[in-house]
Amino acid sequence: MTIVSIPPLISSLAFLLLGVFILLKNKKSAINLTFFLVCLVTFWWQFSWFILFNLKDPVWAGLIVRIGYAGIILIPVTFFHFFLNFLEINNKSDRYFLYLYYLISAAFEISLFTTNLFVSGYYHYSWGYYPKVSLLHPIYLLLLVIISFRIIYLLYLFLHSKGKVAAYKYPQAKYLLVALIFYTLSASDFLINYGIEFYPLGFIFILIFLGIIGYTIARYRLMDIRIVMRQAFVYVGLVAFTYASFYLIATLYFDFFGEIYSLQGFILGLFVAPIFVTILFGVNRGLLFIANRFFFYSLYNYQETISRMSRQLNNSIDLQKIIDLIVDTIKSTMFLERAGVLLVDQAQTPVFYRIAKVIGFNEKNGISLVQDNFLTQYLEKTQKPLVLDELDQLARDARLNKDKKSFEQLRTNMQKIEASLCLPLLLKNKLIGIIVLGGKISGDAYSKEDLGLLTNLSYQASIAIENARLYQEVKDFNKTLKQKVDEQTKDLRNQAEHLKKLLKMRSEFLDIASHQLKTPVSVILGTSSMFREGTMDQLPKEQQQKFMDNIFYKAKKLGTIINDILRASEMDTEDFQLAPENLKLISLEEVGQSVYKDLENGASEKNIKFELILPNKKLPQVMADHDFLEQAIFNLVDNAIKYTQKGSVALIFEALDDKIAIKVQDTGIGIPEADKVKLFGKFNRAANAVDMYTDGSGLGLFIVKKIISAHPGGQISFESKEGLGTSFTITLPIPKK
Amino acid sequence: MKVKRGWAHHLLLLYRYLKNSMPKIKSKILLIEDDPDQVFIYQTKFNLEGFNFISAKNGQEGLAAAQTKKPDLILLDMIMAQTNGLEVLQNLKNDSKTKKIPVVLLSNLFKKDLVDKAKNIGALDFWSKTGVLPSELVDRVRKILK
Repeated sequence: MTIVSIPPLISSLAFLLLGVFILLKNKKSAINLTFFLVCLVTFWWQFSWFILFNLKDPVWAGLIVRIGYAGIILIPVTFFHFFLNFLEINNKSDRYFLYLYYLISAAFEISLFTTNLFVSGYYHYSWGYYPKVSLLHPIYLLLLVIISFRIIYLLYLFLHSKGKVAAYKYPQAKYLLVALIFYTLSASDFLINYGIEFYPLGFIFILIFLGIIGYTIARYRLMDIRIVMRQAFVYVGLVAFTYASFYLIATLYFDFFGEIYSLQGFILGLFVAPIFVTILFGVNRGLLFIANRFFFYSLYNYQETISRMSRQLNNSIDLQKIIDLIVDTIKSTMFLERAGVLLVDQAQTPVFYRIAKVIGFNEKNGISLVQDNFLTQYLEKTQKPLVLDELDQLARDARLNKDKKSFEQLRTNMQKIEASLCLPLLLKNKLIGIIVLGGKISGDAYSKEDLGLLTNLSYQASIAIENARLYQEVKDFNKTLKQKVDEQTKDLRNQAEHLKKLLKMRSEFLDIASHQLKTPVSVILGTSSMFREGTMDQLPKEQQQKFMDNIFYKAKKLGTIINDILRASEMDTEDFQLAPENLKLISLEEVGQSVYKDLENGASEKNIKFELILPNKKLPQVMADHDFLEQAIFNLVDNAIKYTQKGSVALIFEALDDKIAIKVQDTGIGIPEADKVKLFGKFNRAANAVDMYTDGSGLGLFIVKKIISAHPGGQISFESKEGLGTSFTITLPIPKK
Repeated sequence: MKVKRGWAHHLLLLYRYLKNSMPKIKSKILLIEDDPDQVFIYQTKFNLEGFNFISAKNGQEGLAAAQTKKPDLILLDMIMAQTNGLEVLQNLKNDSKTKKIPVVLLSNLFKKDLVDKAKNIGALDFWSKTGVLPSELVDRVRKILK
């Protein structure tokens, strides 16, 4: 085995390994399969050269160069096939070209083995044999250039019209483009086919291609391959370093000292080994650093992230905590700067989102984009994450002009607030909120796996949020329930209190009423018993007559008191009201005259001047209850006459601007200051009134007040000076016509 | 066995004789009542029955009369316009000069708690005006004074 044959051996094996690895990852994927083909033909090519470079005898060289070229012929067409699949290009013309290229390649293969038109023989260079090409080869090169440009053009289109395929493919495509360019640089080897002698360095370029592909797989999940890249990178790096060191030392030793498998060689090895180990540690550390720096992408573990978050979510029913947890998990898993959760406020229509938590977004820009019915409907319909980069394509594909505008507006809004992803929070197909995410710190796109993880997380989050919400609702409900119960208890207590008061009022009323009733009864009983027992016979005639009069007046008084008590008890409610059917327009003159007639005699018996004064013009009618009003005026005039010893009593009716005044004026005993306050109260009698008559009911003015207050707009007032007289004034409004 | 009686016994017999043979001293009754019609009835009745009857028309006058005239019994109306009967009773019982005079409350307001209160303060009894006719009243007064 010659040293010059080692590079093709390495690259061929590397391609074989990668190809098989990718194929095994997903045997059903056309992308993986075609990439495997690329690797296979490359392997074919390189492995053939490995054998070729080891040939000592030219007998086989003619055959081996042809076998090797069998692979080389297929390289362009397999690449084209792979890129068509990867870029998901299905247009007819490209597919026809593909088949055409396959046919042409087949034709080349045939000519390769049956004629000298493609390969005519071999060169024997200092480092080994190499194919010598012929007439058809330039045509092959021409086709290769065409295919290369076609692929590069397709990639260029892809990269400049985002949205045709999922966003996570852009970085993959970018890296593939670079890798492809490196691969094509290996075309430099073709010069050797035309007799220009230098060692074929194409293997360097294709190994770079391989490295880029590997990196793209590790970092961007090319072909959806996920490998725990960090460790692999470190191990592969260490192996490469060891190999390279060995190869370097061996080569140098060989060049300077000759045979390496000698005693001197082994002794040198003893010195070199410790140095090598020391350096190896440094390399290991450097590799780890690089891995951490460039391959952090692979650091999250899908299953573990989900199960950890589920576990944590289960531990909490506090809405805010749950939202914190969701945002933190997503932020740290995806390496984001901006994340936010918005929840639908269920109390409001149209849909209104409330910010539950926002990190990194400039709140000045608002998360206004989501106050948007279109987004809500779209997410509810698709139930999938919405990626900013896909909006262009969505807008282009939208059938309705309205939708197109909406998508464009949405894109503008998302760009404004620097959001890259809207993740629906769904529950029973209803949107309960949105998780809005910014771009990754690394600037990378969200991979297919990211979206899967986020979708999964969002399901968990939805359930947890809903649970917390329901719990909160129950809590709130309990709170309001307690409040309601408290309120009603208070109401009941107040009502009980009120009833107690009423009961007490009633019992007081009965007490006083029975007392007031019994007072004349006791006089009647006592006096009449003395007549029965014959006691009275011992008294002179006039005294007997006085006792008889007492019985008579007390019985009469009893009648009035009973009337007053009945009436007062009827009115003794807080909102005594007149029966609406009794409230009519009445003439006051008639009422005045009626009262006057009733009390005229009483006044003249006491030698008191009693006047009814009416205006010359007829009084306007007022709304009043005739009987009650007459009773009120009667009570006032009756009191006036009763408590006036000498002088006069006047009942005066006056029409004022908008009301009528009814005045009862007397020159009686007046009302003492102390009694004025409680004058209209129940069973209250002024001190000087009691001195005059002990057995008044104390209800007359109470009744008057109740009656007047029950009249709409009715008012009563009084002025009095003890010893000089009193004047009561009732006013009733004149109804507007 | 015949008990031998000494001079003290004879002295007692003499006192009894003298007491019974003397003209009776009229008992003095004070009625505190604000209703002149009622005063009129009781005045007539008690005078006819041979009592010395005086009256007062409110608590203040009643207290003064109790202090100066030293009645044997006071009849006190429970409800009067200016003073509450119970207050008058309390004043009578607080005054050393009047506290030994028996007081009977007269009222038309017959309630258990009032009766209890009055008796606690020191009223002898509590009579209803409508329940006790003038002749019965005189009989009861006599019984108390005996």
